[in-house]
Amino acid sequence: MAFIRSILFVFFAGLIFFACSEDSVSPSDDPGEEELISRVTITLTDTSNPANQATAIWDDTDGDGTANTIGTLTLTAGATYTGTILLENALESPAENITLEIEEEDDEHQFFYSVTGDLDGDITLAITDTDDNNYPVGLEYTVAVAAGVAGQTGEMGIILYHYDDVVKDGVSPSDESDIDISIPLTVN
Amino acid sequence: MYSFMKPVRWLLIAILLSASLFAQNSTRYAGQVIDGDTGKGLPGASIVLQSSRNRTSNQIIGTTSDEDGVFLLELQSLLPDSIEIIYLGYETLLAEIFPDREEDRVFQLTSILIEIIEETTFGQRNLEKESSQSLTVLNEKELERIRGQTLAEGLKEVAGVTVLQTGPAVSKPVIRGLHSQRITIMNAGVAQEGQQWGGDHGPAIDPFAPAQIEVLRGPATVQYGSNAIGGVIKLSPKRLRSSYGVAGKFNLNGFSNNRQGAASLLIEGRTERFNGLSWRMQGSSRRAGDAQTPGYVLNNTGFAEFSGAATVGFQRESGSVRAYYSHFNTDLGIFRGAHIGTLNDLERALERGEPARLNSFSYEIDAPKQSISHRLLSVFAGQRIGHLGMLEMQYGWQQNHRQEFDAHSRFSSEPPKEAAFDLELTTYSGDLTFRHTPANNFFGSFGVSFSRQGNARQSSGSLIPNFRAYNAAVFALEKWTTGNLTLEAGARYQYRWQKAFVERVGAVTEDTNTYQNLSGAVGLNYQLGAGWSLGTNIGTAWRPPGINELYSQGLHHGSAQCEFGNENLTSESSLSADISVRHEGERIQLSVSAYNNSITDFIYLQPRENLCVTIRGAFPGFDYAQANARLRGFEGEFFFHPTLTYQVGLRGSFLLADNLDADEPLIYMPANRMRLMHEFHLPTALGLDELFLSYQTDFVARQDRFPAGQDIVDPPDGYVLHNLEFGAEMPIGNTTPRFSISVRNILDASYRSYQSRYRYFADDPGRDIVLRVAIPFGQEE
Repeated sequence: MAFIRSILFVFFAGLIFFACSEDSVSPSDDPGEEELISRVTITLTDTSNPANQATAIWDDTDGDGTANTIGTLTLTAGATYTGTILLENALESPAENITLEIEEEDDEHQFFYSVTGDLDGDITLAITDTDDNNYPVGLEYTVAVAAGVAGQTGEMGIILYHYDDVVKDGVSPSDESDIDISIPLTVN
Repeated sequence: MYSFMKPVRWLLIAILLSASLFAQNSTRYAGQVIDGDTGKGLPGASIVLQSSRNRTSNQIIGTTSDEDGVFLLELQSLLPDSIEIIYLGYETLLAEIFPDREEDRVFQLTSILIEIIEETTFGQRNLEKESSQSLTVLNEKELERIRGQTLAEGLKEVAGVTVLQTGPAVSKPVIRGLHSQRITIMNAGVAQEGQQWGGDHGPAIDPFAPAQIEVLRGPATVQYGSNAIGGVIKLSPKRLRSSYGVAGKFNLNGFSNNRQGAASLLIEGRTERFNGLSWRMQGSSRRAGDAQTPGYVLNNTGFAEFSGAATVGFQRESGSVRAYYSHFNTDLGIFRGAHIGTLNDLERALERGEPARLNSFSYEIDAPKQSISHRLLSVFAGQRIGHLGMLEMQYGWQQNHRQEFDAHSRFSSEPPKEAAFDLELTTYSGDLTFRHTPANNFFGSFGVSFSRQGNARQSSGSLIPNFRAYNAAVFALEKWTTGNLTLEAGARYQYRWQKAFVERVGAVTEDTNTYQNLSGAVGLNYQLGAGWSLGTNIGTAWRPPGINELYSQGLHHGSAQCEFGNENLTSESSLSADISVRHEGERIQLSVSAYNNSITDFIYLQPRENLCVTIRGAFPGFDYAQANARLRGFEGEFFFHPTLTYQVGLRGSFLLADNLDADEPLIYMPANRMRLMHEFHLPTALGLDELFLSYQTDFVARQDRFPAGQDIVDPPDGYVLHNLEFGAEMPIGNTTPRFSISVRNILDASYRSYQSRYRYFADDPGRDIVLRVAIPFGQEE
């Protein structure tokens, strides 16, 4: 019976081990360091009247896409703007500026802008910055609004492609989009 | 009593034998089965004679012993050379026989309570035939034919089993349409615990390790605990050596498609020192490069796998102790073309129909990749307690460490140094079982079972939260057997406590849940005679919601869909019924099972009406929800051998799976399939032994039953694959190496399996030529 006693001893010793290791799995306060874009800010400045600015913010406030606030971009008919785009991880404090990383890796990224809705064809978007290979990047661009379209609405689509498998050629999309959003447009 | 009866019986045998000599030109074989201790005849023992020269083991005939333990068999065209005697409560006896020389023979069976009932009673047909459940057992010989592939890939050979595939490196077994958390894999006596919830998380098990695999189709939570709602795959290492000496085996495989090499070395022995210690060591490795479809190379689908295991054990009259430790390691690449950002990206990939960038073959494993380590310790001890029975303890510790690396840091081309997510799951388990001494034809056991599990996130990425869980259970199983009939019943009560540390926007909240359930099953097995047997069972089973089903939140890049967990999910429970018919005749072998599994509160992904809008685009959204589901179908195999050297076989699986509440089929269910086999076997030719040639045709139908509009693309077309296999033994000196050459997908057909996770992006791999060599060495047992 010595054998059986030793079995039972090992077994119950094992159970005690269960109980003692209670805190080996502790929760972490760290919400995850995954690099992500949580906020996109579009800023347009009227070339003929720099005081006339239009901004819109697309904000994913909880970082998982379940609570988004999406601003509307209000433009002036007949105006031409220069535009910038700011990408941030606002879940970090202070917010991390990801635009800087895109600038550094501009030969592997490209923004594609589009306009849909009533305003399709009435707004001309043109990228003005280029990378080392002379392909467009899209951190800087111009927006020209046709005259006489006041009161119309539409949407501005913004996609940021990351070129890794596919080589950037200035026109083709890749298979990896870092952002893909649309912002409502109205024209006064 | 015994000595008096003995002459009477032999007289009887003599009369029967002489009668047979006059009757026809066939041989008969007669004998008696007795209890080795008491000398009493054992009535109703199953006797199977077979010719070991026939690898496919279809040339078998069987009978049962009469009330004195005497049996008599008529041998027709076949001259068997081995006998297997199966009697419940006794060790299965396997012996060589010489029907042309032996007149009669007494076979002594050893009561199983002298030997320990280990986690597996070896003996293939014994288990299958006497089961009330739908069971397939693969023995070592059959496993040799599938060595070198991942575990699940090899199990495709079993009716009712299909595979959820993420390239050649990751395959998950699917039993009757259910997989992942709905299946339990028993590895060396312990339920394997990894991050089973992930469709691309394969079981971290060395495919060379098991010497026997049992596939139990249908729920078995009474025996195996709450996750076995879909079935059980039980892997048993080889039994430790019982005779003194040292022996081993070397396996070597080569695969042409992904230029994979695999090798495994096993050495085992028993020494007279240390009270007769038995030991075994095994080391295995598999290394593969990119898989190739007929048209292109699947970039970054290679893998590198290393594993090692060691076992030591003592066996005594009164008990035994055994410890097993294994460490499995793999680094595996994820196909570059399956790495996408948004739904639009996926649609572009679909439209293109082939990967964006075509590469040449390489062994390199780059990010995106997975790196997995699984360590497992299993300690078993059994002690005989007087005349009462046997007490068994099974202790398990295992640690699964999973790291997944993304293709690159988000905004740079450099592969990340830190894993995108890194999870360590540690599980302790302990079972205490008492097996009572058989009394009045009752065999049974009862016991308690505990486990503790903790999941800890090591670095970034909170795909699933940290959690801690405890399980406790009590169970009892009883079997009553008389003659040809066996009845069994069992019940298990299980309680689970779980605390998750759920992270939402920087804040951690604790969520504690408890689940409990009583499950029960009753079964029946009837030996109808003439080689026919019937098994049927009905039972309840349950499963608590998984951690991902409770707490998933957001986008899954691999599948381009948003998944939202539901903290209010309850356990799912099933009621299932199953019936199996088996026949082992001289020319025909048959095994067919039909089943109905009704699952209440089945947890599934329910599509949302609105797209889930994220900063990375709009995706289909899904909520984890519950509905009543029903899975029913049948599977089976049939062999007919008109001559000794040829047989034709058919194996198939058919499944109908429905969400009854939504009145639509369940998604991603395996398509119906069938395999036609022609097999030739020659005992000896060309200086080789045991030659066999097998030609197989796989027919896989298109899965026409799917819920409309939920997947981005409809299921792919059905396909037909042709395979050829040739094998033989080549005696060299003292050893008999076995080799085989097989060609899978001979015609290099392009196809996409509905259960391949790469089907959106690329075809399945094309032709594969596989060479296998197994060299046994040392002193045979």
